[in-house]
Amino acid sequence: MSELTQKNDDASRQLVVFSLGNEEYGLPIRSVQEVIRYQQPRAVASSDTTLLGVINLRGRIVPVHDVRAVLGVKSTGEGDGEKIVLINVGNTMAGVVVDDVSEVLTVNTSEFEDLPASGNPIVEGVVKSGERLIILLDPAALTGLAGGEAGEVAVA
Amino acid sequence: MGLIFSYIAISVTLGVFAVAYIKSADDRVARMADQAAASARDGRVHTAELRDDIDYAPYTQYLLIGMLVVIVGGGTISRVTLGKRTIESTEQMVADAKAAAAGDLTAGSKPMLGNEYGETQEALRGMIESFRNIVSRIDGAAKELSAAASEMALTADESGHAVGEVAQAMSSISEGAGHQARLIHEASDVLAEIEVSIRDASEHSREAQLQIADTEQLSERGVELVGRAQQAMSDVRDGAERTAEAVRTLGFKSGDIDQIVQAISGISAQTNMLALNASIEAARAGEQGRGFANVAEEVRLLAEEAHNSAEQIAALIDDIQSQTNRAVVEMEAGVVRVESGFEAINRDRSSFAEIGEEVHALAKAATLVHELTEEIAGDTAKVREQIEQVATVAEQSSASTEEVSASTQQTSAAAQQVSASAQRVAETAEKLAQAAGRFRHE
Repeated sequence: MSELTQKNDDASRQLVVFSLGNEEYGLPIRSVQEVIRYQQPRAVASSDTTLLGVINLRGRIVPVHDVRAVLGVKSTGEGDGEKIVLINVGNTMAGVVVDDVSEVLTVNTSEFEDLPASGNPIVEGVVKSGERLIILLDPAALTGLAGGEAGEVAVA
Repeated sequence: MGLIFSYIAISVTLGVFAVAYIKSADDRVARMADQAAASARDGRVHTAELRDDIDYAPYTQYLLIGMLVVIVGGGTISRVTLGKRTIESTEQMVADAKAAAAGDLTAGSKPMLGNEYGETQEALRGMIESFRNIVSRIDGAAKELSAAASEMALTADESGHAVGEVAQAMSSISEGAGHQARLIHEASDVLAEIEVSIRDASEHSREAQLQIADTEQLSERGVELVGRAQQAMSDVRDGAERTAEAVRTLGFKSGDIDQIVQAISGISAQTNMLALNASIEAARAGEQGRGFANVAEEVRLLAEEAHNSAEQIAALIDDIQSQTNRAVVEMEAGVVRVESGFEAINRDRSSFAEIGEEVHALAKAATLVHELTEEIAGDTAKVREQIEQVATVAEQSSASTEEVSASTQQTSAAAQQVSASAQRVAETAEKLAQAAGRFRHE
């Protein structure tokens, strides 16, 4: 919420739109480091049930989370087009597995709406772009899935 | 003395005459015997001569009576002139002569005197003896003649019977020959009908021969046509196989194309992702990155377009592949059908060839039948001619047999005549025997 209010002076914002099943989700473009093709994470022992494992991204170890499990979306099976979106908040980097990344969408701030009923800190709000409804996710909450522990893993 | 002399002269004359007569009688008897033998031999009786001979017999009696008169006269003369012995001798001679005259030829005493009386007595005895011999031989001959004539009559009767039987047999032969001639004529007529039938058969076989020749040509053409059809089928089969091969190749090629399209699709997906990353980088660069973000978005759109096109191509390729697969399946089925058609034509061809062979054999057989019927027709004509000749011969033999029959009937009549003649000869011989029987000579 704080970030939204911070950038409130900008008339428009850019979102990286990805899909999980039939739903579309968005992340602020500044929080996204890059998109890579899916690669099998190495499993690591962890109490975090959403943690799939870690990948080696050009020498840097990055934890990868199953965002479906976080959001309660059922898996559609392992598709060919699966990708990993790498999120960077501060010095913390983490990856989430998505079905596909479709585009970089520019939307007006007027199209943003809060979604207080959700009760989930990951969901920041919803964006109406024409007929599309894009659920806006909070990158910090998403990367801090394990309650800030992820940062330590990433550092290590 | 004059009387004695004249008596002696008369006696001698009579004696000479008697001897001459006996001689001639002897000859006649010999001739009669010859004639009887001849009659027995040639079945004909010379009755006239016999009758003459037999009629001659009574003269003998007259001669004997004459001689008796002379002797009696002589006796009277002797009684006067000669002594008692002379008279006895003379009486004995008289008795002998009387006995001979009565028919007893066994008499004839021995001479009592050595003079002329004795000689006379001796001569008388010899004469009677000769006479006895003659009569005895006449009797024997007459008996033999009678037997021969009877036998001849019997033989003539038998031969008459036999000839009658022959005539009957000849008559039935003649009848048979006539019947035979009629039968042969009928056979000839039947044969003529057969000849007509054979001619008909020959014509029919000729027609059959022509038709078979037509059929033979047709079957040969059939074989040729089937051969051409076979060639065409073979070409079709080869063509179908080549087409199937080409379609299969097409299928493989579209598989290659699919791989290429997949590669393009992969590249476009990667390009899309790179464009996204470029957009993200541009956004991070802020205002300076705005132009770059636009370029990245263009690139992303192109990549997406390429991806869509690739997907369309992939769909098309899928379509083509399924179509070519179906085409290959259809083509293979077509090849199978062509194959079975080819086999059917092969069978047809061999069937046609077999038919051709059979028709050929049939043609040969028909030719043979035709030739044979022609030959039979010729032979039948010859047989008919020969049968007609046989009929002519049979008619001739019938006529001849009739003639023979007539001749045998004439022969039969002649045999009956011979029998009658022989009967008459037998009767005559009987009379002769009776005449001879008047004399006792045994």
